[in-house]
Amino acid sequence: MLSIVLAATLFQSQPARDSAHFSFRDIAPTSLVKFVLTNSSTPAKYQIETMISGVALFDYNNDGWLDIFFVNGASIPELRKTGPQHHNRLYRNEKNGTFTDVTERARVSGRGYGMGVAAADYNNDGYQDLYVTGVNFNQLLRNNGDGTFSDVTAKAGVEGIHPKFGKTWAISAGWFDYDNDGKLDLFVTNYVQWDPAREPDCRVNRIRTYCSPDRYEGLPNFLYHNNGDGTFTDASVESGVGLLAGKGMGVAFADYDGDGFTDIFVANDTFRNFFFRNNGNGRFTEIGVLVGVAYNDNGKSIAGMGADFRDMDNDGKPDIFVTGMVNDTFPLYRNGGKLFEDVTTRSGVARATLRLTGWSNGIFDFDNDGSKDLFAANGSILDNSWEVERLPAKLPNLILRNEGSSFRDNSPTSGEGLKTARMHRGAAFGDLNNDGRVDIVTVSLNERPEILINGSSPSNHWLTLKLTGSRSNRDGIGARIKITPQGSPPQFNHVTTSVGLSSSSDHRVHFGLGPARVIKTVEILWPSGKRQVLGDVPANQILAVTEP
Amino acid sequence: MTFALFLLLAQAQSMNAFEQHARAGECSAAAALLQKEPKAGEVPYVLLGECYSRLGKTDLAVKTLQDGLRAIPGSGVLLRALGRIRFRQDPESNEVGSLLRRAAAALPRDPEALHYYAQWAYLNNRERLCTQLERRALMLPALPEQALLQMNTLLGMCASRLDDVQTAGAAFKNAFKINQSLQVFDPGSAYQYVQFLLQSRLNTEAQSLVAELLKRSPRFGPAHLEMAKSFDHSGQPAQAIEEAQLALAGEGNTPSSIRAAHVLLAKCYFLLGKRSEAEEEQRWIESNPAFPNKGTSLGPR
Repeated sequence: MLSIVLAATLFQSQPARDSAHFSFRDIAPTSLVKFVLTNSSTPAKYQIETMISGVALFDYNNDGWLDIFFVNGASIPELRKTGPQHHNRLYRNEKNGTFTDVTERARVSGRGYGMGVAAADYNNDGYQDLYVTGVNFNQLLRNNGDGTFSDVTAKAGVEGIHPKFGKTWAISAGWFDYDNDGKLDLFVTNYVQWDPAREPDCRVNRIRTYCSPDRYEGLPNFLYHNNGDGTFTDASVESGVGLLAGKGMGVAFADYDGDGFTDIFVANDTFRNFFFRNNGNGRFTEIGVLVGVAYNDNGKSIAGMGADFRDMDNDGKPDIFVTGMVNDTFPLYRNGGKLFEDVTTRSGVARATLRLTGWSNGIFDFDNDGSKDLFAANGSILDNSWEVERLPAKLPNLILRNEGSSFRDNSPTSGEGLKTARMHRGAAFGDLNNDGRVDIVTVSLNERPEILINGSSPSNHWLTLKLTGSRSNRDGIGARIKITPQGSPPQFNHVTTSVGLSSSSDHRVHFGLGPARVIKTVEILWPSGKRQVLGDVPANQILAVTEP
Repeated sequence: MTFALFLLLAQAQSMNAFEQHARAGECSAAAALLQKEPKAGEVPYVLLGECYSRLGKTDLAVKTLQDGLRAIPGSGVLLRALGRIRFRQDPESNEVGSLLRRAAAALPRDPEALHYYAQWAYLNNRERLCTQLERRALMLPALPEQALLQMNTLLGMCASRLDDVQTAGAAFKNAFKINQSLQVFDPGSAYQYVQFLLQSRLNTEAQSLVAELLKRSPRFGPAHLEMAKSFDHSGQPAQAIEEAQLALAGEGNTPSSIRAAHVLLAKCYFLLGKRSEAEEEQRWIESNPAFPNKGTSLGPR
């Protein structure tokens, strides 16, 4: 079954002047979004202050338009939301470039000091739910379908409490179906063992700073198996993913070897990244070192932050893009089938990222030319980095244009929206105005968000797929898609909301088509194993496809 | 002989004895002489400081030079000597930066003072300052080839970080030209040039340079590692393994290049289905501490 859902252009986008440039405009000032990410920073430099990043783009009311959810902090050291300034916020998309704050009605203002968010329809009821990670509370917010959410964390058994460590400091979460049973499972990255009463006093040149992660012990991550009855079973240990302690930041999912089972990449902070290969029997094997994604090309554990796991070069094999801190460069691992190859230097990404510290990131085709580009939200870890290390605390974001075998830094020519230096953290990607171009929402410490409306290359064509699973999970998460546009090489992508760091992106799958007006074939391999092929699909539409 | 001349000769003899002790590493004897008969000028303090430093008695070296600075406040030579020793101890310290800044200000035509301060600037994210200092140093007359090599190399590294590809390319080219003419080739300098070429996506040029580097310094481990990476990129894991092993057996490795060689070996063995060898490499990697980014080399991470 397929139907054309929507193809509208209601937001005013600035047309790109040149097809080789991106064009982003920040509509936040006129959007009525008043949210300010409040980290409650203190002179004592509690580590949590610098890590908060969560933002989600998801359609909570099923009106076909992406809404925005922001995660917020709390008072320190009490870790309590003492007033509206600490509330998480949900903004409904009014389809005209403005948003309405529906937090109170939706009952999503949250608990404790938040960190990240993951959106997906875990109970297959047709409404996307939220899982919010945090320092002292994680929350599963079930979407009731009537504009409200219910906190079902305890009943579901996903409070994020470890038998040995208690409530762990969770950073990111992601939904995926690791056993292809049609029910979305939940992965939660945990960072370090942290207690506000025992925050170390870290100084550089006698100036108080946030501490290196080396000063804290790492934690294992959680994997919760969805039982299908509203509850989850903690499968961390039996699956193998909970046997290793790391310093988990971003998590991203893809089937790297095409065996039909989704694998997991976890970016760790100053610790080797984890790559959990899905053995297909409910267990995972960590093979990050062996497949070449644990370290960078120089054998260094970088300060891994965000991650996207997506096919950037349309060879049918998902690649991995990770952000790190200044002097790390942001690793780009190309999937060669069995192993990954670090192409950071050869692709030009190293030179473009050497002086940046990146947080959330994504691999998307921002100019609809058929090649996926790279985006990273940047900002120093230290709010006093100028004083401490003569590096600016606020940094502009980065957009790298895919030019085939390499990437070019197009940030300075990509519009005002890409020029603002801030302490950026989270970033979520999705088509907010349904015009076929991927927009970006970023959050920055103690500032309003940026809502970057993409006006790049309006003459290029596009296709967005909104999948609905039947035997597979209803969001179609994990479905792999191959399209063959008329006159252009095939392209590949898959359904995921786990993109970047602590953030959650549009679950619809976007393709830029360049000049192609028709897609000869759209092939969907659903997580259930069902293969679906659509023929002669016209471009420039959001196509709803239901699993047969 | 006049009395004055007698005194001068006596002082010279005493200085000579002091110098002999200091240069022979008999620091205590030199120190005793210095204490018994305080010497004029900064040279004795520098000699004694170097004497202690050579013996690894860094604290005594620092103390000697600090004493010297108390006796001769603002001495550029003493500031330079103290800054150099403290730089080795704590390259990320602002106090060291301040010492080297004062040394460079006091000795504006001293290439060493400018170069030390430039090194500190490079390690502490002051790349613009680094390039300014090295440019000034390179304009000084009669610089020895070795100094020109080091200054051009550092200028290239700083300009590269600033994304000033033209300046960096020219500086590395100059450095390489000088390097080729030296009796003893400096593979470290050439290796920095390789890194610059790779970052600039000049892969063919980088490969030729690696080949040239290995011709001149066949046992230079980091160059073998680059060869290994190149084989890995071109899908030749067996050759990559050979080169990585040569890298490990070679010279001039750093902890990070050794680690990188093991990481590459693990990956290539895995690709070839040699699981136990791959796991052995993984065990080595895990049992040897990583070298996480210290931030900006001085940052807190």
